[in-house]
Amino acid sequence: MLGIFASAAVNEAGADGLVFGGSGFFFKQVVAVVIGSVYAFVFTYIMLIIINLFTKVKVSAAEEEMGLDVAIHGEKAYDEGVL
Amino acid sequence: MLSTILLQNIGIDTGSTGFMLLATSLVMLMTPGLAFFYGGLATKRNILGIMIQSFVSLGWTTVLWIIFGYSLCFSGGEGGIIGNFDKAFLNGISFDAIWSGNGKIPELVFVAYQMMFAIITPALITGAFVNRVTFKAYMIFLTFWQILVYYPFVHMIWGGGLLADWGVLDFAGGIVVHATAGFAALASVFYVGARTDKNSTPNSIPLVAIGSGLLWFGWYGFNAGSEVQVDFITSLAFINTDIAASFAKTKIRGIAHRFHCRSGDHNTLCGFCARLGCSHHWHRSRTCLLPGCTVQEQDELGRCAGRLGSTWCRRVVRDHYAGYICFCRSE
Repeated sequence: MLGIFASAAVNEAGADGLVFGGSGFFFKQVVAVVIGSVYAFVFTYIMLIIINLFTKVKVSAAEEEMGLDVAIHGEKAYDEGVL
Repeated sequence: MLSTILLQNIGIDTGSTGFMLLATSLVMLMTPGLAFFYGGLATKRNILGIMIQSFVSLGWTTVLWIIFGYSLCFSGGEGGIIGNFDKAFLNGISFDAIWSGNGKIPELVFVAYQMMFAIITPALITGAFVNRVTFKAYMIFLTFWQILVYYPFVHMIWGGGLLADWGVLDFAGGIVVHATAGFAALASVFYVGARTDKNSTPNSIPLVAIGSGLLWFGWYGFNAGSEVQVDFITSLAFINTDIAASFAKTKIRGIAHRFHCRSGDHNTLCGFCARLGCSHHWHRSRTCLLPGCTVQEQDELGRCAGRLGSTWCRRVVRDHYAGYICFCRSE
């Protein structure tokens, strides 16, 4: 959005976006978003694979069925006798 | 001695400092807000599990941030990918140090403000893998995600690093916070796969409403505070935050009605949260246009056709790549 609507007339510290003729700035913003997205995606995925070598990332089917409140944390959010 | 120190402190802009302290508190409140928001959307048996993933970040991320996080983000490393350890344990930041970015607020206020962003960013991801990830693995993930993904992007864009040098701008975290967290969420949902229980419903829509309200409230600090001082840009960011949320809320209400969604209320709540995120980018803009942008949290509920598609929509829209209209018809 900054790449499109930014205006240096409003904020001198900024730059002009696409609608104010700043196509170069728009390109840089798009590139930064793509880099950020791809980087985060790749690192997250690899990180999860590596973590899984040391400790189980995904809960078992039984734990998922039980719900993590009881399966991992040993508590329930609400006292069902009352609600 | 004390009077000398007090006199030196007049070097700060007290109005801006007061505002930034408030903005920092507001951003802090967003993380509990997020816990309520996700906690309400989760099923009855997974409320605590998802809420603690947000709350634990308040403590642990602060520890990391003080030890080396702030330093890696904002110390040295000009034009690079990551900073250095010169300010580890806040070394060298005296209590009366003034933040060099604008010379108006104490550096400690800036440390705290940025810390609140570091706290909420990984917590944003947790909604994608509710009910499927062990707490131990999450804690490891939280730690290394900060170090390997969040800190480098903060440094590269806000800390005078590589992308900042190139001319990339990010007012309040569109790239640094939301693009990274959004795609991390997508990657994690690829990794853990779909939930087995596809027919669950939110356990508490009032809880979602509490969370949404706190997020909306906190977002004024998130956006307006990103000017890091008080001026006309601050007020522009403030009003844009509200306009964006309100239009999105109205719009998703209409779309939910049109497609006969049975759960229009929580869709409305989710919709304005998405737009609040979108509003980050508007602060430097002259006008506030509203491309179609809506979202449903249906993937959390398992009613959407296609887990992946809806997660993609939800995250992409929340990450404000603008102009998307994502909707998944309810059954």
